[in-house]
Amino acid sequence: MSEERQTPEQIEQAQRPTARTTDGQKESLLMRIINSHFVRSIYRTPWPVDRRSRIMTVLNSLVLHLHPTRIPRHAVKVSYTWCMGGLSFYLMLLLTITGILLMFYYRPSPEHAYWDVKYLMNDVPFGRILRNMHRWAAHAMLITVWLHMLRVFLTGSYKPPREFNWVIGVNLLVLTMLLSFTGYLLPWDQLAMWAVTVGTNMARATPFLGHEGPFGPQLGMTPYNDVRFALLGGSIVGENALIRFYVWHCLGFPFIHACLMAIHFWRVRKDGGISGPL
Amino acid sequence: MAEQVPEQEQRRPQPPARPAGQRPARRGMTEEQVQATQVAAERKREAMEEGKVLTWPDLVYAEFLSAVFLTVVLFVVSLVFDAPLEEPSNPNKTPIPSRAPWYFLGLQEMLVYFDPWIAGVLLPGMIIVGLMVIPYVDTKPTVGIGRYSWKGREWQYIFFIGGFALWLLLIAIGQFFRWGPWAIYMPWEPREHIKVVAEHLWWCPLHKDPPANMFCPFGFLVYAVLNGLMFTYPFWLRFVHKDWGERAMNYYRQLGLVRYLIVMFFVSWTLFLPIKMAMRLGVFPFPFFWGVRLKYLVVTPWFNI
Amino acid sequence: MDQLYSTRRLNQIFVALNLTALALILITIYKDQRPEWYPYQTTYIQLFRQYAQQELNRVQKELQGDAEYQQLKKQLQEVSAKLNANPRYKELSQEVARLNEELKKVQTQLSEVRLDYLHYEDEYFWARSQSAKERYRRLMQQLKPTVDKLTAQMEDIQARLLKVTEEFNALDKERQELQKKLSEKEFALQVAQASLESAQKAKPKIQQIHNPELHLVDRCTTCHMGYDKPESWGEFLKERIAQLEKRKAPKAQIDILKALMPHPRQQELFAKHPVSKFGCTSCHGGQGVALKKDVAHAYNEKFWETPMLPIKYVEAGCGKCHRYEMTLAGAPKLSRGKQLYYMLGCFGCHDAKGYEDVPEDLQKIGPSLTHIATKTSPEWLFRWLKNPHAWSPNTRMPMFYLRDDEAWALVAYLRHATEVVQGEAKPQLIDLEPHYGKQPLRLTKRYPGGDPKRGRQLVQQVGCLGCHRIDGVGGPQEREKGKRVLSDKDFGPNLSKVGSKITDPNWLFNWLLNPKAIDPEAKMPNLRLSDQEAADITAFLLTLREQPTARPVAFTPTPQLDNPELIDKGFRLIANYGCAGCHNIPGTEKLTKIGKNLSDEADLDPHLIDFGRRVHEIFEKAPTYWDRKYIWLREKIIRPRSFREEGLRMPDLNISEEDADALLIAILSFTKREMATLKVTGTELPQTLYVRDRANDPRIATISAGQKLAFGYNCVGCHIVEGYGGDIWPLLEDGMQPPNLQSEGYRVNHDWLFRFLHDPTMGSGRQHYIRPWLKVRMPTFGFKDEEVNTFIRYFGALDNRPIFQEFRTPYRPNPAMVAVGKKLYDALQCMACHPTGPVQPDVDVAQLAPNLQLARERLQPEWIVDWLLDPQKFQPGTRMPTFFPYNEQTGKHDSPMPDIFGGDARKQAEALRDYLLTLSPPAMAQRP
Repeated sequence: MSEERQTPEQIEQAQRPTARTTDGQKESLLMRIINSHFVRSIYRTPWPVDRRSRIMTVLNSLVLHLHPTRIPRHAVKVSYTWCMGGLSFYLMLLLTITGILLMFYYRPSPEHAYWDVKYLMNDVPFGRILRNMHRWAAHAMLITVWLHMLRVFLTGSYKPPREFNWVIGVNLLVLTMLLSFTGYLLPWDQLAMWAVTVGTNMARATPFLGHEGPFGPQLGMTPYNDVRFALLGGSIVGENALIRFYVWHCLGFPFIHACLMAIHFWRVRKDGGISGPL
Repeated sequence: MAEQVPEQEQRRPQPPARPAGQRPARRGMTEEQVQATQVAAERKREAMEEGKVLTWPDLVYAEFLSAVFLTVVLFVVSLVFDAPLEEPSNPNKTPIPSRAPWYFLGLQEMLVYFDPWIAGVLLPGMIIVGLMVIPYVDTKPTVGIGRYSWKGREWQYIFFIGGFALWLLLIAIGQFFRWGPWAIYMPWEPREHIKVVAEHLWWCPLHKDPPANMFCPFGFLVYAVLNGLMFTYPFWLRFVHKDWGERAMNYYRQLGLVRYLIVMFFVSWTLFLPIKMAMRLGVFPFPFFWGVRLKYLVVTPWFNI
Repeated sequence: MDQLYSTRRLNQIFVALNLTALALILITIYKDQRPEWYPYQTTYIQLFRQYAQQELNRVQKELQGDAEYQQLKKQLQEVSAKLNANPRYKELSQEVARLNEELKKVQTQLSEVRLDYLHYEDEYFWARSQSAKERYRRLMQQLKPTVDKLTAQMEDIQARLLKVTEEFNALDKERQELQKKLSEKEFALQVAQASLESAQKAKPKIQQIHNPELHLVDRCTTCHMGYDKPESWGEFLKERIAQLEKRKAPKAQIDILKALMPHPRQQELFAKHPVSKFGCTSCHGGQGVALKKDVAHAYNEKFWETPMLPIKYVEAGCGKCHRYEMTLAGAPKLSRGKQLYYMLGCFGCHDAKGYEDVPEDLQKIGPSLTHIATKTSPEWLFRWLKNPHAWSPNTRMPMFYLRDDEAWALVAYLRHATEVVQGEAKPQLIDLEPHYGKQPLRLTKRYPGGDPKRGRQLVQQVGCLGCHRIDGVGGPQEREKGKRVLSDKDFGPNLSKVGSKITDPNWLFNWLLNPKAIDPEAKMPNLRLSDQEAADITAFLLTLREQPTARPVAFTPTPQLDNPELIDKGFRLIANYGCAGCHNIPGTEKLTKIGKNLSDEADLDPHLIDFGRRVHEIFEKAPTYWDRKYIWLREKIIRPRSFREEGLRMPDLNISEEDADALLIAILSFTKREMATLKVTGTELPQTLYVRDRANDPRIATISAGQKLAFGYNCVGCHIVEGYGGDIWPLLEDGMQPPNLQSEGYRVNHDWLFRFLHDPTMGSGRQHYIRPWLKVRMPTFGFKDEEVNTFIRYFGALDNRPIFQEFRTPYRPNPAMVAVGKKLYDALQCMACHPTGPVQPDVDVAQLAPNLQLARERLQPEWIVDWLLDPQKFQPGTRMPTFFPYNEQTGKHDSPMPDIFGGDARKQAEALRDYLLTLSPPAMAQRP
């Protein structure tokens, strides 16, 4: 599409809500809705039809202004970005929304946790699809994050001046895995309990800090004061572990994740926008 | 469609180009990294004028559509497959096998080959730190920025893709080839037969069944010598091949001692990983020690590797 | 300005994707709104409306056909018409209505005023200042007259109302009574109407039974809507199903109807197990919260640990709580399985919950082998060990599939351990225990020779056949289908070929005289045979020899049996195969049970089972995941060695398929999951709430212990206990059978029973103490005191008597009653059957009954009365005539003699009782 640059009068004309276009033809219903008073009041710019209004659309929107108004042509190609960064962010949003809804039905205590999940699966309207979405989206997010990292490495997008953003990215990757891992325990079934047991058993062997790790016993580490105890709030995966994992999963990690993400996006803009060949 | 550069931008005064070297270098950066930063800034400015597309609709709309697409896929997956939910947890009943979540299966798989403190703590820590270190030990910071370029980054590509593939491979083995007491099952093997894993491993290269709290000097020596050889290769490679030696020496000079040691630490561990796995399986070093399944290379009274 | 993607193209994708998403959302909503159970409920509601209408029509028609009802209706109409014509009646009814209205009005006013008054009173009490107090006091004073006035008014109205109502009721009485009768008649109609109304209002919704105490949430009834409906509903459904089948309707549709069937035996089961409390899954298993058929039934759910029990094994659900009773009315298969588990000695290898209280003497179900070396020959032992079922098909001894060398090793050990060499100690073996309490065998008497014919007669008469089987003579029989405790097995050895087994006639003679003298652990009781009787029986038994067959049994030649290596091997085999689980073998005292504890076998997960070489076969045969376990268990019982060539130890029980199913059901009831429902880790359920456990129910503990004795000593071989047993009954003529022990705990005095069980002759030296005409003998078992006490408590508990009978002064008959009793005693001809002296030879034994002279010491006074009034209640089929038949009209017993006590049957029975208790017991010398 290409238009001639419009005069202010023409723009004014285009913005005026009318049932007819300038050339007298009847406007389509869709355009009438778009140009209606109410819809116009939501956006600060008119329906983007020309270059100026398109730029203004991005500039004037809280969400969209994360983006620059114009970006290099190659950087938009899906074959270049694989869309993985954006999708990771989208999955994070999706997980937050489904997660909040799930929290309505879930109580993090050994008596209730499993049965609440059972109820979600059997009983709660749309509970089954809600939980499935949350679960599968979490798995999908891990994949998208890994692929995003691979893409960034392959395109050399970690190179100066983006070194620190790469470091933040690695931290986000670790956080994503931790979020997924902490969520794994919450259904409180055999799968959860034993996967987390296997996972946290490794912490016993932490050098210096675990009671089975090198130099751990020499430093006075026992099952009741080592790093695993701190993780689980006990020597086994029990009630305390559940509440700890729940809080990390629903509050702690998402908070850190959000902070790091904000820095990540900000640095993307400041370090020269989405990467491209120099 | 014709490119139209807005007048405003054309009229904007160009900032005076700063000659290279004038700008104070950031601490700790090599000359080349400083240069790269400046080049990047320069390019950025130039790019302002080059062919661009508008964020709306080319980026935002596409992003939006891919999000919707993903939602649709997730919807279908969620309708067809239920998220797993097994029997209520029971601390007295250990399922066989007890599997970690799939994304940690790489680590669980490493538990076969290493003690938990390595597989469960050291290795993941090293992977994370190693990833973060990458941009700071890059000797080619200006090559291939922002595009896929095998050329000039061959080693980087091999190393990274290799590591990524190994990670995925271990996950695949853990998910699809392990059963029972973490024994290898081929997909066509019936899983009802419980395999008994009763391997008798060599404790260290010298002893099959050693006394308690021993110190294995041989393995330690081998390890130390091999590591020493590896760390010092820029200095001796010249005696093997003159050009290679020159290149290695250049590489060392580019990095400086500290960063060189960091790189070699990670590289040595990355190489050690498959070697130790092969030794544990009794297939390395071929043809010596064939069938000798080694448990540890280094044995001390406090820790074993 | 150039653009990478064409907006048009993006728009197209946008529309396509969004339409897909919309479609998916619609699908999700549809799935949520039309769940799997929906058609069940719509079908149910639709059918139940028809059914309710049909019921209503039926009831109406019935009422129309009912002449009495019609007459009542007519009468009511007439009476009403008459009343309506009466002007006073009309007046009164109007007056009542008016007064009632007035009363209501006054009462409303009064309550309002009183409220105000109370408010002031309250304020007065709490007021701080004098002026305020004064103010409220004044207000109260002002209000007081109104209150008084209204109260007086109310009382007045009430009094008037009472008077008017009385008069009205007097007039109206007849009509009201008719109305009442009519509404009684119309009750069924009202029920039908109500059910139709509720059916018309019904809407599909999830149904659930919730018992927080058990963490129980069962939605089973969401689909199984008809579970509590009457049988007529089932018949209605059956008709519909038949119609659908005729029409070749799709199977899914028919299945829906089948799911709506009512629960069978509702009155019997639901009365004690209300569904609102127990739900469905407590008994049936399954996933109660789930609302999808497959997930809820969980036959194929790997991750639901308590799947539904297949309907053929459903009785296992009863055993989850009823663990200790081996006889559970309503669960015949489970009872049989539990009895078999005990009687076949499964607990000798496999401990299980419910069998911890087996008394020490009955721990080993097999014969004691303490003197096996002197009893029989090594060759016989070898043949027996190789294949016991070939020698006697009904034996309880299982087959171990021993190799020849193994069998010989066992023989060698048994001989070594039990052979007594006079005068010298045997050389000790290195690996074995230093010599194990070997009992010297004393055969005190020499076999004098006897008459086989008389011996045969005796064997038939004295009761040997209650435990033993002899081909051509007889053996334990099934008296009633499924009521034989041992099913097709025999308690004692089959004696058909005993002459070929016993090597020494002296041994047999001494054994018959007193088995306990030879072996204190012998199972066989003392029948108090005289020397001559014992000799005759010995003579008869020795004639029972194996028929020489054309093909002699081939076995390897006897090796040298005192070879220490062989003996040592024998000991190891005994330890390996757990022989000591059933037999007392010297030297094996320290061996423990070799089998797996089956207390939680029902909780076993199929993925933990080793199917051995039959894995593919079983997997193919099993339609569902959990069926693998049932098939495996069943096969394990029937063909225990079929899973692997080597390394399996369980012997072949030679068990029938039917018994295997019963055993399987018993094993499937061995669970540690208390109520097999939602047990949550970390929370304790009120476990003992419904579980009938020994710990919390002394009655159950008593019954459990008593059953162990009654079955373990094979009392059921001769007597009928709890309806079971009586194996010897079919072999004896009527009247010659041992007594039925039903209501024994209520019938006899407990101290008498104590003495009797210790010594059935009661010190009289006579064989048949109570029933002199009997030939069959109650043997002397030599019970320990605690065993006798257990028996007494057991019989008491069965009849719901107090477990410890109270001490009380002996019952003193009322002299006035005694005289009347004597008259009745003569009139009813009691002595015709109950002999008081020696039995006359011409009397028909089938008519004889216990000696009534013994009543005073033997019988409980209350029981005699109850028994006289209704003997059939205590012993269905007893020959005792019912003199006082129950009259349903009067709700009392009728008497054949209306002139005594005005025909009061109970009083007459009491008089009889009083007379009987004055009869003096015969002097010791004259005792029958």
